[in-house]
Amino acid sequence: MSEAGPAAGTASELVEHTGELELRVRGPSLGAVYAEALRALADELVDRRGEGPRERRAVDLSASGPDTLLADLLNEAIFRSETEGFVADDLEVRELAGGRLRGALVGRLHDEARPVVKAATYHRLQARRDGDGWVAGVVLDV
Amino acid sequence: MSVPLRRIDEVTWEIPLGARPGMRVPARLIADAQLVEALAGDGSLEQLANVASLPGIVEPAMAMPDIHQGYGFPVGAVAATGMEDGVVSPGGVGYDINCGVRLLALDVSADELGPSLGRLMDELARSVPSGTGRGGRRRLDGRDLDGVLREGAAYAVGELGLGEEDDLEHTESGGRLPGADPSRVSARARDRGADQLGSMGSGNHFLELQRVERVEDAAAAGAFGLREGQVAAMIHTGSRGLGHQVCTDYVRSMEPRLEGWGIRLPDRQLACAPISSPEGADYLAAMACAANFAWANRQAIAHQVRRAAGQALGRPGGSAVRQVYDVAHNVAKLEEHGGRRLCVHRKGATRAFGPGRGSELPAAVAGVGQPVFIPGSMGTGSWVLCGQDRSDELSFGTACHGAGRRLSRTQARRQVSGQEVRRRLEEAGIAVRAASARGLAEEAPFAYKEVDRVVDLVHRAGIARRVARLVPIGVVKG
Repeated sequence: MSEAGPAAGTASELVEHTGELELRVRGPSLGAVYAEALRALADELVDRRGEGPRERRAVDLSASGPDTLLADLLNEAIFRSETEGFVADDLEVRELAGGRLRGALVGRLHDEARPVVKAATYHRLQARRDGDGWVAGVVLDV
Repeated sequence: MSVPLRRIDEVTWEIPLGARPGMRVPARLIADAQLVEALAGDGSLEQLANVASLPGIVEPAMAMPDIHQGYGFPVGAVAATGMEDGVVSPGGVGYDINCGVRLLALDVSADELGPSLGRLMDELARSVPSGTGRGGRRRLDGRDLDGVLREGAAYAVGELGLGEEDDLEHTESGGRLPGADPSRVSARARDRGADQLGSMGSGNHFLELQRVERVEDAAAAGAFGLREGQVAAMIHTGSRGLGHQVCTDYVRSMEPRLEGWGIRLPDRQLACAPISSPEGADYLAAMACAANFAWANRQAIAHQVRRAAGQALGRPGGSAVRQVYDVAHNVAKLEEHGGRRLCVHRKGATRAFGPGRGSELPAAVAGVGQPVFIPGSMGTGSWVLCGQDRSDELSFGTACHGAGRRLSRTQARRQVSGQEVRRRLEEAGIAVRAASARGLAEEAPFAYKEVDRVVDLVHRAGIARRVARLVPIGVVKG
C-alpha cells in the first residue's frame, strides 16, 4: 500500500493553547480534513514515521454531526495507538454521509508510540463547510 | 473575550455573578496581580466563569493560583455541586482520572546516596516504563483487573503483593474510593488499562528523586517523617488509558442527553448528568473504578521504587522506603462541607484538609493537617504543604496542584531542544533519564510558572501551610 499524502489544499496547524494541543485543519472535503487530522495526531504520537508495511483497520462510526464524528475518529485512532501500537496517518473513506463514516484507518505499527494524547475533547470542537472546502478544530488532551 | 475581575483582598479575586451569561454563582481565584496579568488571553477565566454555570453549583466556583487554560474546566479549578439539584461532570474531573502525586521518604541523605544515584536512576528508568510498547508491565487478567477497579491500592497490596498495609493508611481515601462498579467500565477502557498497571505515561508525568532542601515547619515535617538533606521519591501519574477512556465514554454518552435534562451549557465539554440520575450514578461508579486503578498504579510504581532503592542501599525488604502520603488531583468526591453533602470536583486541584478534619487523616498527621504535594517544574523545586482548616471555608478543603503551565508545549519546543534541556539539567547536577527528547523540551522548566509564588499564595490565603521545599536530584520522564 502506498502513502498517498494529503490532498491539494489540505493543511493543519497547532494553535496556541497553554495546557493542551489545539489543532486546526482545512481541506477540500470533509474526508480530507479527517485524514489530515489523523496525520497531525500521528505527528504527536511518534517522533518519525516508521518503515514497516502499511496496514488498515476498519472503522464504522456514527455521530450526531461532522464535529462529533471527528472526535470519535481521533478517539478511535488514540485507542488503536495505545492498545496495538498502530498509528494511523491516513484515512480511506468508503462512505461519509449523514453522520456516518465507513472506511479504514491507514498507518503502521510502531514500537515506540508515545501515549501522550489522552483524548479528543469537545471543547471548541468544530467541523464545518467553509467556502469550497471544510475547516475543523479540536482540542486534544495531552 | 475578557472577564471582569475584582480584587476582594490581598490574594482573592472575584468574577461577579452576571459577568457572563448563565453564571449561577460568582467565581473566585486565589492569585496576585502578576499571575492575573499573565492569564490575559489564555481563556482560563472564561472557562472558570463557564464552570459557574453548572446546575446545582454551590458558591463559589473556585480557582487556585496554578490555574491555566484547559478544556471545559480550567486546570486548577474546584466546583462543588449539591447532591439533590446538582450535576456531576466528567469534564470537571478530566481524562486522567485521579492523576495524583505520591511521596516516598528514603531513609538516606542525598550525600549518602551520591555514589549510587546513577545506578538507582538506571534501575528506576528500567523498571517503571513510561508507556506503549515498552515492556516490564504485568498484564492483569479479568479477575485481577476487577479487583483493582473495586479495591484500588488495597487490592494491589493485599492480592498482588505490591507494597505494605501502612501505605494504605498514608493514602487519600485509603487508596480506594467507595461505590466502584467495574460493570460500569467499558471493554475499551479495560483493554487500555489491562497492561498499564505500574506505568507512568507521558506528558507531564514523572518520577523524581528529590532532596529535602529546607524545612520551614519542623513540627509538621516531623509528623510527615521528613528532615533536611533526606532523599524522597515523588511519583506523578494517574489512571492511564483506562481513566482516559472512562472520561471519553461518559462525555460521549451524556452530551446528547443534556437537552432532555433541561441543561444548557456554554461549552460541550462541560457535559454532565444530574447526580441523582442513573447516568450520574453510572459515571460516579466508573470514575471510582478509574480512581482506584490510579491508586493501584502509583502503588505498583512505589513498589518498584522500594525494590530499587533497597537494592541500591543494600537494604532489601523495603525498610529503606516509607510512604509519606498520596494525593489525588483530578477527581470528584462526595464530601461534607458546611453541613451539606456535596460532590466536589477537583480538576488539577488537591484536597487539603486541616486538623479540624483530622478524623479523616492518618493518626500521625491528624494534628497538623493533610500532607499536600505541589510539584514544580523538573528543574526547580517542589513543595510539601499541610492542609489548613481555612481551606474548608474558602475552597471546599482544596489547594493548588502544581506550578501551572505558563507556555504551551509548542512554544516550549520552539524555544529549546530536548538535548539542551537535558544539558542544562545535568549541569545543575540533576540526573536525567528520558524516553523522548521532544517530551523533555515540552516540559522545560521555563514553560511553568514559579512554583514558589504559587505556593506562597495558598500559604498566605491560609489554605495550606509551607512545610518543606524539595529540589530534584534525578528525573525519570516518559
